[in-house]
Amino acid sequence: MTLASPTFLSLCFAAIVLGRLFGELTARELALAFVNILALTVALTSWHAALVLGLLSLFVYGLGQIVMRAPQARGAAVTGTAIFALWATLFLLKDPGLLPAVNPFAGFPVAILGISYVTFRCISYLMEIVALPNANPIRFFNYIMFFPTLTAGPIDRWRNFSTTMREPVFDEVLPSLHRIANGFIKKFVLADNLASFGVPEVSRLNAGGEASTELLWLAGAFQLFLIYLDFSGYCDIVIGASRLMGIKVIENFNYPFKSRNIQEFWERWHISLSSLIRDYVFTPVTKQIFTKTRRIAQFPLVVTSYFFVMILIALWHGTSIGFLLFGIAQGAALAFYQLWRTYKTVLFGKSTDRSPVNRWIAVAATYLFVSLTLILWMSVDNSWSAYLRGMMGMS
Amino acid sequence: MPPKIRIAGSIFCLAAKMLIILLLMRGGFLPFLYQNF
Repeated sequence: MTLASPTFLSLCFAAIVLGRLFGELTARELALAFVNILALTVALTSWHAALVLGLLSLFVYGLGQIVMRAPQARGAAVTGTAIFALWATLFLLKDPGLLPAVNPFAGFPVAILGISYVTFRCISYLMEIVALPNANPIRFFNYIMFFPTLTAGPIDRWRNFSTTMREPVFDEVLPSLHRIANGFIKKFVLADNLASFGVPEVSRLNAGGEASTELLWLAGAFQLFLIYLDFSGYCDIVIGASRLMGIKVIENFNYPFKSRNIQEFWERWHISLSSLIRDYVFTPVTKQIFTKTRRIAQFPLVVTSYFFVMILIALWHGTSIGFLLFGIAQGAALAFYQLWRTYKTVLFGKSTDRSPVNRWIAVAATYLFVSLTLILWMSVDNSWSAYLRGMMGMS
Repeated sequence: MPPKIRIAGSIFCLAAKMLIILLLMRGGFLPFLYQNF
């Protein structure tokens, strides 16, 4: 179900009309649930996938009820265990070849569209259920299965979704339509037409032939821009369509190409994922480090937590060695940036240079670093290693 | 700018964007012409 397919557009139309037709909250929620179920019947390819997704939903909803009623300490323990179990299930589901001895999906692969996003919404639900209790299974179902965000996010927070369901905003019709049109131009006009850039070179490499080194570098440098067009275009369509339904979905990008360092980049890129990991993993971990460890151990531990968080983000996308290396590279860059930020004044004195040239160099370096490390995502048959060899003229 | 003119301008821009999409998207009118003629 692509965003330009008649199915998706019809489902959006149905959700918009029904959402505006029913003013009363329960009726609106039931109508949205009906459209979400219709979308799931299209998106899920087998009854196994429906069964796993159904069991996962029941498990998380049930746990939410326990956490909501449990004393704080026990609730936190249940949430922690459940989140660990959800992560483990996600990894085992996404990669049936992972730990075959204990993986229940090893001989029984189940492909579920958007499972990474559904799992993260489940985690958000469990993390925020105490602050915003919920006894309404329909709202929970609509939250984790909201069809425009089902396949590729943004990963909305429970807090945000619950509020926007109760207080819908219907008055932004023209801006929403513009947002959808911008998304279509980015994704289906620009990204789709430019996507083949560099592909013949990579195919030649994979076939054991030679490829132009310059073109490979150019295609590598272009990679991030292409992904941006594709993903932010997708998000524009989803956010615009959701606004027409009265639902305000979280933004996913904030001018990422303005970033002057790697930390700023990850604060501006795929915000719904990076902010979730920051709030639920990085901040609690660093808080523990600063309150429970000796001063001398704090810096190395914080640097280690950067690696941990970036590897987590990378593995969330896929469990191959390429993703792992991508996570390590991003973690290393973040750690290096922290070292640089801490010691640059000590080493070079306080800088007063605010020239635009320096800013542009920083912006270009950040962009190029991320774009070139994205080559590691080409994980099918480890084709990234052939690509890197080709870039060095060693193919 | 009067609100009516602003709305009319916005609708015009939206129509222009939709035209661009229909003409240029993969599988759109111009790629179709390019591939078939």
